[in-house]
Amino acid sequence: MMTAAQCGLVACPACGTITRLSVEQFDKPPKCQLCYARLHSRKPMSIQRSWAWLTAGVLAYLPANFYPIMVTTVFGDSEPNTIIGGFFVLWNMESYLIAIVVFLASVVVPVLKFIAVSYLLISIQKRFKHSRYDRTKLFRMTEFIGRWSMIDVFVVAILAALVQIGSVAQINPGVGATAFGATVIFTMLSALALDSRLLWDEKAGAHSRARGHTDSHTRNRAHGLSGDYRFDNRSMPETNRALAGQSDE
Amino acid sequence: MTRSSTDPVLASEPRHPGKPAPGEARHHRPVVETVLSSLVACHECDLLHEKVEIEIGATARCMRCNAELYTHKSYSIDKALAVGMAAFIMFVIANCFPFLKISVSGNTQSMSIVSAVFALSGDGLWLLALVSFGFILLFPLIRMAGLLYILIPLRCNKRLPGIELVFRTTVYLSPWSMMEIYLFGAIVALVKLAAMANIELGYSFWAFALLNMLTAASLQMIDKHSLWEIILQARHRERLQSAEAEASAGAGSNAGVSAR
Repeated sequence: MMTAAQCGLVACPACGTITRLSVEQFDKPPKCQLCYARLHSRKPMSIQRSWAWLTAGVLAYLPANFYPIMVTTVFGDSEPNTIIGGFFVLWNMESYLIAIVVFLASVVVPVLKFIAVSYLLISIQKRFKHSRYDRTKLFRMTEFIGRWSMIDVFVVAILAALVQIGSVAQINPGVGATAFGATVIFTMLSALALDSRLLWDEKAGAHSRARGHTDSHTRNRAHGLSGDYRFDNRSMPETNRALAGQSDE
Repeated sequence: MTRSSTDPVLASEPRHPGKPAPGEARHHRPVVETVLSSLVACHECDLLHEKVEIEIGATARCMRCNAELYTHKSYSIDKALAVGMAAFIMFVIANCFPFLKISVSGNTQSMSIVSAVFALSGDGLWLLALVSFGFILLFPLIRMAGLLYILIPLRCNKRLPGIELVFRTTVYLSPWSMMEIYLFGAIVALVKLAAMANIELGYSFWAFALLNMLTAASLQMIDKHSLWEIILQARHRERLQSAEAEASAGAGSNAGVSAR
């Protein structure tokens, strides 16, 4: 089980072609020779960028909830609708399925996404070793489901475009819609910036990686040797014990 | 750039034994390239795998994290091109007719797809309007046009400039094209209004729904890996043809084939 980085290889993010890099090139990889995409063994500054976008997303989520996402005017009466208010309106209209969809898209998914991405980032930074597979699945889900939150913004836009019936009824979008759109876009960028390969790396941090692949070579060799010597220790004592001690250092 | 022979990649056997002899120094690069092209790294956990032949319709998955590595599809340029063109036509139709119509007590109002964007910008949310315009119309259009730009010349055995740029753009834009989400948004809006007004679905709605199905079908048929494979195959064919032409011109020997 070797990763591409441990073999001194890097896969193109766009076309998947494998390129060999020297140790120096790992810090500043060239472009893919086939499709000219910028190569990277791990996304550059992945954790920092991901945290930054996530923070921006959380900050934008506050005004998204305080300000109305749309203003409904029926026969001259204006009524601002917030995100959670829209859910209650639908619930009272007894269209439960749509109410649940709206609730999922506008409340559950963004909040779960904040939690999930934070957990993934912390788990990378703290170098958790357990449940890597489950965390990868969590990442995959976050990446897939995040864009569907945009449905709320589109509903507002469609309603605002459609319901413009003079004095009878009118729906106008509110500032909250922009804030909510910003939340969705920022959290999507946060998930895109997060490199799931870091979940599997033994060593975190951008710079240890370039050394990491040479390290792993020497480490593997040392491992193999010491294993052999330990096995041989009984039959061929002194010299091997001395060698094993050396390789352990 | 060379490494010791203990290097796990170089130590393994080259894929194609019929290819040039590995002993000679000047054949070194092609051998390395062949070995590299027989490898695939998981895009989610970076684990290195050796490509193996799989059945048509099967999917190769990562041993460690179960991510999809590659699929073997019985793709054909003709089919993908047909679906792509149909999607393009549907896109035009969807933008020419009214999307939804509403009528309340004698007053009717209709909207097209793009008027949702104008509704946002009209109330001062022009930033959101701009972004939505990209998500709903511009990015999907660029992706569709990009696919046609790549496939049509391949079909005609021609080569247009900038294929690499177009390919990368279509790959990077894929999470940002949100037509299907817009369609579901329209359905949610329909349900919201159905109780209080009379809603009619326009031609554009059906065209848009069809467009989404066609897009999904074309993604089933041709993903980014198979698209790139098609481009590579076309290049390989081109290279062989030019080498043949060279050989028949009397340059002599097949050195040209093996060196490049």
